[in-house]
Amino acid sequence: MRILVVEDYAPLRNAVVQALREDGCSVDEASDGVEGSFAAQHGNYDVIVLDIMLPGLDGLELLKRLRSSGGDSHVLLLTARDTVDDRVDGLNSGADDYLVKPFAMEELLARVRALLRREYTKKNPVITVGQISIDTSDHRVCVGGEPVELTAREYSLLEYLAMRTGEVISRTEIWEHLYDDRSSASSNVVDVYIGYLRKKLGSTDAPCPIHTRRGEGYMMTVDPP
Amino acid sequence: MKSLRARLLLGLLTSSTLVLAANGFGLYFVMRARLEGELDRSLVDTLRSNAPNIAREVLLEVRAGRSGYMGMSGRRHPGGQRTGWEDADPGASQGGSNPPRPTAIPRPAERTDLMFQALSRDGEALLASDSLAGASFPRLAEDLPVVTYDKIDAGSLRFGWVDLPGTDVLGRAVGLALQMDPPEEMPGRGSMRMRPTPMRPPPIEIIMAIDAGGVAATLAQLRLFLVLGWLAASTIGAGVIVWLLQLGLAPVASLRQQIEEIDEAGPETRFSVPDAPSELLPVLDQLNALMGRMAAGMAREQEFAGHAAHELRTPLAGLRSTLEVALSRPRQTAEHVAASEQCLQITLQMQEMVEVLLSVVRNASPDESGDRQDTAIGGLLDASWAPWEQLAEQRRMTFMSDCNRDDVLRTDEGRLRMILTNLLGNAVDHGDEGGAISVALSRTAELVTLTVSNPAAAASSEVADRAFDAFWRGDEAREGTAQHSGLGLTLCSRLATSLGGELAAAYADGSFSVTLSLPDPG
Repeated sequence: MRILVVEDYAPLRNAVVQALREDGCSVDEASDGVEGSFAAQHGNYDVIVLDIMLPGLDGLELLKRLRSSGGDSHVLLLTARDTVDDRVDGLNSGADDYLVKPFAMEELLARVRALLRREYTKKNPVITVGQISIDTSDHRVCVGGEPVELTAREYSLLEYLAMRTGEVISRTEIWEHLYDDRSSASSNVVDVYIGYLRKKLGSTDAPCPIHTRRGEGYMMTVDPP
Repeated sequence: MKSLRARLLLGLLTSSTLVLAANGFGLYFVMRARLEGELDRSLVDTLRSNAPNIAREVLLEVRAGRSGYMGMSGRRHPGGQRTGWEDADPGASQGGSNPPRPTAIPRPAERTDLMFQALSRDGEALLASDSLAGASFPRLAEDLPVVTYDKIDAGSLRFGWVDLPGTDVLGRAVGLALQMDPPEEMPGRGSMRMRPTPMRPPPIEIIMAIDAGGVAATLAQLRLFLVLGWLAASTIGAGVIVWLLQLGLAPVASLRQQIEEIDEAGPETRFSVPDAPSELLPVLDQLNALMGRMAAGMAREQEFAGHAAHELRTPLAGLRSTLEVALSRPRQTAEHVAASEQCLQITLQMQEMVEVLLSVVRNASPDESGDRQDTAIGGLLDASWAPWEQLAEQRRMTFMSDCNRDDVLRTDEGRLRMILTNLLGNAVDHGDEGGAISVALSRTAELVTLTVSNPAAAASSEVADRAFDAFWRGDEAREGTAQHSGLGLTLCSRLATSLGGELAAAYADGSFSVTLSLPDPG
């Protein structure tokens, strides 16, 4: 999943970015409103974690500009202000959720996951595709009821494909959701990780439900095309 | 006694009681004087009408030897003089200044309606009415002037209260020293042979009393009536006074109740007393003005506290997030060290911010310590500029001041230094790169004005208007240090106020200026 964190206070930004990355997200970061606005409008982010009080451009103004330009990323506002008016202002500006500082990192991660599920219209945190079940709340993956160990990158790829079950996803799109701007990995790495997943999740009796559509990308489905 | 009600009550009760008592006493003494006057007139009339008879009877008694008077037996008084009683004719009292010959029968001494006593001038009893039953009156005065009958007047009489013998009744007595004239020649008796010229009888002192029991009883009744009246009037008066006080102090009580009912939302309360007396109106006005100031002050403090809490939330969130991420999974020592260093850095930033907050709070109070001294403004400016000199050089900024070395202001040097250091720091941080920072000094009879100006293209009138708002930043930047907490100019403003001056910001033609005005005690 690809996430943008816009926060001017560096220690907090660093901690949030690290926590999200360790949760398997690809995260970009911005330290002021102008930079954040540019990234939000030009990047294809699933969720934007946005501080309100920002140098250069106010967070709420950034959000309004994003929405007016058609940006539909889910936005989680981070702010020190906790009055009802503040929350209402934030939500009315186009935010999807609101979190008051200081917060528990677990809560922030849970809210981000909830927004991701909403992004892909998955209300149940457990996604099941054939014999594979993916618990997005604790990143546990089981095949036929047996747990399977995946790396963070493998899990991110699997979760993204499972979220979009039945859809053909291009390599570029997958790459953008697996790697952030600072990554220098090539798009071939997607094929490599697809291979890893097929080995770990498939068997002779039940092949892995990740299918290749030549020239288009990959698709996860129990019914092969 | 601190209670106004108690003071008024005590004063009014005491004064009214005393006035009532004084009236009672006055009335009593007037009545008593009148009654005594009536009694005395009656007594004098009785005395005047009976004095001749009494004198005559005294003479007869002396002649008859029934009186114990020394001269009644014809013996001479010591000194060789005759007493006069020997030759006095009891029937010869016609004419001259003597009273008319008494004709009353029976003798005065035998009358039961008269109580009298005749004494010689030496105090020897000569005659007493039978009604005295052998008792005697005390002499009313030793120095009674001796007068003849026709000279009897108020000055020759002495009055007094006596106990009537044999009774418990009080009597009113009058004393008179009466000189009878010598008896005149009796017709048809003296032509045959020479008779010696009758001698003037010695003066006698008559004390006559009448029953004054009625008057005494009347006076006793009057006293009782007056005491009861005084008590009743005092009680009623006290009740009326208490009621009037309650009525009069009702607005004060109403105000007190309103003050008692003030709760947490107190400063928003405004007092109003229906039909408030004119004396209370200024108090109400001042009280409401005070409440207004308190409300504004509390709102400012609440806003300030809210801002402070919000500002601390961000570094607190950074601290918590860093620790939670560090502890979320097993990590290398180097990662924990990095997280700890990050936390330490955040903690130091928070400490710095807290110190600034405390400075704002501590320096909000007026400088009453009297810690003022003659301060060389030029030298203080140099000292305040020194911390920023290097940064200004990096930003190619120049500094100029028109302050002279001998410009001196009597003020709190420490607080003034904090203000100037902050203003110059802001100018270096937010002024245009390569710009000139200038400080201009001007003086009037009462004010010293210092203006710090710098070119600042990014500033605006809004920046100038909100420059002193707590936690307000021109660009909403938060760099995690107290210097950029949005408190610097707030602190300066409060410091200026504490020194009796003020701080004002202005923006015009691309130049941002802050003017510090301080009183110049001269």
